[in-house]
Amino acid sequence: MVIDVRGLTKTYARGRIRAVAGVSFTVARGEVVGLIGPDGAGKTSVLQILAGVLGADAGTASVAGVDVVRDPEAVKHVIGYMPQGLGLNLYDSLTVAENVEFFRDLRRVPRAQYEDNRERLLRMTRLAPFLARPAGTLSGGMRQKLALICTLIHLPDVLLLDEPTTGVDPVSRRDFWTIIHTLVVSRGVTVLLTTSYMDEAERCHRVSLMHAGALIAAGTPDELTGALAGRHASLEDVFVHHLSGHGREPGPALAATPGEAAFDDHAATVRAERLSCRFGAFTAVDEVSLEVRPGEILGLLGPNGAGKTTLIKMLCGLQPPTAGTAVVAGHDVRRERARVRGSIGYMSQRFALYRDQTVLENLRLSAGLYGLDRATAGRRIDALLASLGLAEFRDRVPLALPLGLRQRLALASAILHEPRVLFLDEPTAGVDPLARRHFWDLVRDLAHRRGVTVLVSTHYMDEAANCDTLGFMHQGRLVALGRPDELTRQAEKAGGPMVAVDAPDFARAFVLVREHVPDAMLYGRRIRWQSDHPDADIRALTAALAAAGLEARAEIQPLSMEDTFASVLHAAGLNRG
Amino acid sequence: MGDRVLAIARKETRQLLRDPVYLGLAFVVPLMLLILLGYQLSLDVKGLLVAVVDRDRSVWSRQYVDGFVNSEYFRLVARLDSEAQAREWIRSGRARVVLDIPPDFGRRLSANETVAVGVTVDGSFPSRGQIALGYVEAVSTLYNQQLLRAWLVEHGWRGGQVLPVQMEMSVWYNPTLESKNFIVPGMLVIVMMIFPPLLSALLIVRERESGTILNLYASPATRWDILAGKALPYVAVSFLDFLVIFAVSVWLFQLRFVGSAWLLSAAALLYSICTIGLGLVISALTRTQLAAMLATFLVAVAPAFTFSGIFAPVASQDAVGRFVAHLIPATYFMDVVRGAYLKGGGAAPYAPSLAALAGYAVVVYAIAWLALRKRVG
Amino acid sequence: MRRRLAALIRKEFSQLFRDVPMLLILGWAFTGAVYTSGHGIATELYQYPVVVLDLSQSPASRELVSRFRAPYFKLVEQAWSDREVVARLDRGEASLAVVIPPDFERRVQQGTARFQVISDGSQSMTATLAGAHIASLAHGYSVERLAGAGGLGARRIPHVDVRPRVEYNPNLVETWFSSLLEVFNQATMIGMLLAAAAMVREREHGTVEHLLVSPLRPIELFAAKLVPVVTLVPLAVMGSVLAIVQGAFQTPIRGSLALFYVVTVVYVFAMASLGLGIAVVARTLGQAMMMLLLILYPMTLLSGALTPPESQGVFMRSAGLLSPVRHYVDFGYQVLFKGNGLAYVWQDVAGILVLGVALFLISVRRFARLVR
Repeated sequence: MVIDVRGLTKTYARGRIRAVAGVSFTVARGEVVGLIGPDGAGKTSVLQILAGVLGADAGTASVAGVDVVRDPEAVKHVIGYMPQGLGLNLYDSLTVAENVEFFRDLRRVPRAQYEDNRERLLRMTRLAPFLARPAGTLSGGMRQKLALICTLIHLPDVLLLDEPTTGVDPVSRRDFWTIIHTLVVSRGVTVLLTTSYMDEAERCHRVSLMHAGALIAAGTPDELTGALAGRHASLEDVFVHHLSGHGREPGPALAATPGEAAFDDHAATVRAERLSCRFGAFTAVDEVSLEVRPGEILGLLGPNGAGKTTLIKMLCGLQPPTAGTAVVAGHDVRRERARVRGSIGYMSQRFALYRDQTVLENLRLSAGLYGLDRATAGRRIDALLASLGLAEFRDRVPLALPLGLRQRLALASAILHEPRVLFLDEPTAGVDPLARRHFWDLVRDLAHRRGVTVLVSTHYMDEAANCDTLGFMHQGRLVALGRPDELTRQAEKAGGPMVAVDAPDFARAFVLVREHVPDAMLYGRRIRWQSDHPDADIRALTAALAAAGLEARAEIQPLSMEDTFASVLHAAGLNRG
Repeated sequence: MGDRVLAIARKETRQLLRDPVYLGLAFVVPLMLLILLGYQLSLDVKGLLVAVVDRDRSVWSRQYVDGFVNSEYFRLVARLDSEAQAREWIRSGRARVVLDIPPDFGRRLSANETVAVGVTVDGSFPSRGQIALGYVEAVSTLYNQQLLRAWLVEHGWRGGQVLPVQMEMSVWYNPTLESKNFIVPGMLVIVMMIFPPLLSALLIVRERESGTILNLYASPATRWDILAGKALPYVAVSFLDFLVIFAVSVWLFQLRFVGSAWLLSAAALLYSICTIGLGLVISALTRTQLAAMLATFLVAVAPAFTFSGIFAPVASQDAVGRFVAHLIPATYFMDVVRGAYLKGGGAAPYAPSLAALAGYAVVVYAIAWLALRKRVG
Repeated sequence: MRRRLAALIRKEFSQLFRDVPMLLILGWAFTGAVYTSGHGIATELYQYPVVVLDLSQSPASRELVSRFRAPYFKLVEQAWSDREVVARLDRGEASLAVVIPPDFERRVQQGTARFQVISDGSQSMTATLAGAHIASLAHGYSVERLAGAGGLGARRIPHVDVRPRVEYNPNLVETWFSSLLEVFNQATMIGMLLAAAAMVREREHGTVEHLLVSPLRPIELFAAKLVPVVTLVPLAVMGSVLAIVQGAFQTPIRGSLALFYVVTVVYVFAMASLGLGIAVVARTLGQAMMMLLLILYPMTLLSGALTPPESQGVFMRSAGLLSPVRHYVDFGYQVLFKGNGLAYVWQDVAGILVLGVALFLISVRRFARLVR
């Protein structure tokens, strides 16, 4: 076993908080194991102990034969460790090339091996054109990919990746998994990673579910889903099932999109006309026009760096537009900024919370900033704390809270003054599925029951289903705008349905399929591609796979939202190449 | 070991060069200070405001007061009438010194008697008060010598040409007694204790705040690799700072420099290693950048300013002061700097100071090594 | 508006109080640092190390040497050769050498004695003082010799005797001055730095956006940042003045503490406004610190604490008037040491007030333009 963990325990605050409580598991050579679990379950602590940067209080852990509890320094030669956060381990002022060079030198990678490896990684991540760009100017997804190159540059035998794809757009995430699978197949690399994306967990050979510091379920994705009664059980269902038995209430299943009539007869509360923002020669937002009505949820989807954040900032009055007009809650954002501010709520990507202030203090500050009187503030804070499940954490500081709770706190402080318009900038990045469901219930409730106008950006395609209207952004432009089902229908009309191939040995099958269909992608454990002539494709591929001795089953599927997105970008001739 | 140190050093260098404002200011501020001190701002106490209450108004008293008027150390601002008025001038800061000449001043001197002149000094700035008293004494001594000479002539004592006991004063090292000649080299010592440690004090704590420190923690780089890699470029910056200041002081200000530039450079290098190391210790022990900065001011900058002997000899400090002075590297470097600029001579007199700097460096890096743990939390 | 301000001020206070290491450092700044600084810089002539090469070894020479008295001078071990004298001076073990020739005794009798003094000029201020002192000491010796010498009888010699009287600090205790100066310096630096850091942190952590989308106005934001600094730093100054300057060092405080406190509040307000102005321009804390030093050091040098304003040229003297530090230092010593009231210090107070309000308005304007 490359990784062998027995009874590992880590406590904080003199033993009062148990971050890791007697965890035992093993990972064999060439295996990809995913650690999933709600925020604060102890996943990061396990990885940090294995990487030798955190001491353990009890138990043993060995990585590649090295006892990391006793001799943490020895393990550092064989591992590649990627900490949590959007490329948090990069040096912003250094260029892409310089960041890679630093890790090469730090790890003493021989030159020949380096050249070869670097070229391959750059090709796979498509970062080669950006070598001279400072890392600080890259989008989140590009940062994450660069961080991965830096982690892989010394060809480590063991990879410890902490939420490597959080905040990364779907297209970049596919690149990421292609790299991982290539390394596992070609070099027998062992991978232990944490993730909050359940479709990614399905790509792992085995999955371990952690909760409150303990492992509560483990097995292959099939074993875990099979153990559940439901026929079409997904890992997300497994996650929700196991956790609901551990004191966490699952939110109700995602509600269907309500009818359009709910808001069409109201005047738009957010209106942008040919709104643009340029930074020097770079156009961040390019003539975007859109309207959002009271009670409507508009979702902005797009890869990292598409201009979603800049658009939202302009609508909030945080970023002056270079051209165009924006009217929010009846006031021009540029000229009547002060009037707009009282009626909007804004939740930024970074959850602008004061890390040294308690939950209650953060909320009281927000109440004060919007001039709520004491009684109203107290009433609303109590109500929000209760409805968001934050009541028991009211005296804790955000830094000590899991991401999901921090996110809810950020939402609470954004809606405390009951704004007419709510701007949410990637509010769910890195948050576990259960917390995300809960979060969306709240947002839908705000919009559909209280008539709040919501404009939200996200990377999670499954969340698109929560929106009434979707806008696809790419390179600063709004390339599609419409109801989710409309967009899917259009995309299917343009590019055909999906062909999906299920094969037990999906890694090998994937290599083979790609020889025939270069566009094919791994989606979970499935190989899929959009096809104008699905039947012909199926015939050809099943024959080829059978010839290679691979068992496989193919079917035609409707487009998912992610497929729709990729297809729209492709059709617009905008997909990256 | 070497290549990992270089890897970290190269990274630090690149980061440093990417923030030209920050790096630039680390050179601009010391230079500006130097130019201020070298050209405009004089630390010499001159032109002290003096007022006179002359109750005698005789030739004698006028002669005596002329001694003050003609001295560059004093500026006569007023002739007052009463002691009360004099007090008021001192109190309001319009005069620092008041001379009270008694009504019988001329009469007593012409009768070969001793006469007392009251000198009131503003003591609220004590060192200035002492200097003022010293100057008053000097002017009075000159006047007394004049009186004595006249008396000797009158009494036929060797033609009045020589005094019975005569002092011959020669000033070495800084013959013109300009404060610039010792303040500027002194500022070199202080400035090198301000900017390099402030820069290096942010090195570790900043990476800890941003999270990039994990790269180093999770890599095979040893604690020594990390410290040396981070220190290297900053020692170079500090040394460069030294070279710039040195060049400016010698060529632009034409300061006296009689010693060995090599010896001074060697000491500056050792001193840079110490100051950067001190910053790293602070950086390894603090949790926020602000705390690191404030700690640097209190632990590195302030003691250097107060105890290194920039304004007065270390020997003149009290026991506590002398003890602290010997704990800080600035004192030892000051010894070498003053020596190199003003005194010259071989390396031998400075060997103890150089050894102290080397010893200090060893201790500082040992503490930094102990303080830096490759662990989170 | 009151509610917004109150909420933000409460947050600022609580942030300050949560940072325990920071509070400890601040505590040290106003206690330990002030106490140690009382033992530091001394420019007066005190225990000036003197080496004597006495080639005469006679009663006359010993009489001369005995005049190099404490506390001004301190005799180090005697030298026995020229080389030794040079070496002592070179090594800095002595700052002054007195060389007495072999025939000193005989020539004193004849009235033509000379002795040599070599002064280490590298610390020019003390060297000047020492020179003046020795001149007067040699003169005194001459006069005594003459008065007592047989040839001339006990004749009287005209002589001006200086009778010094020192106001406010009769024994010229340096500690009184330097400890108070340190308190002023801490108020200056910490006032600026705390305000600047509070602002830069808001930007570095992204929380400033949260404030900017709210109805909060820039002037309110700035006011909220200033309140904790303006509340706490003057209190720390008062505590330090009472406990260390007056308590530990027995410095007599003559003036009105109330006046001192009020003006200190205005002063800290001015310096904190300057800090905020820097924070608006700087991108990182490191940059902010460098800019702060760029402004702080010239202001400190021109403050009049190190060197009297009248010793400067006209340009530097006028430049000093633009520095709140200069007014505050002058104000502080006048009120605390001299017991002066507003009638004496109103110009300083007006200077601090005008500069403070100007700095505040300029900083707010800049910030408001930046977020537009």
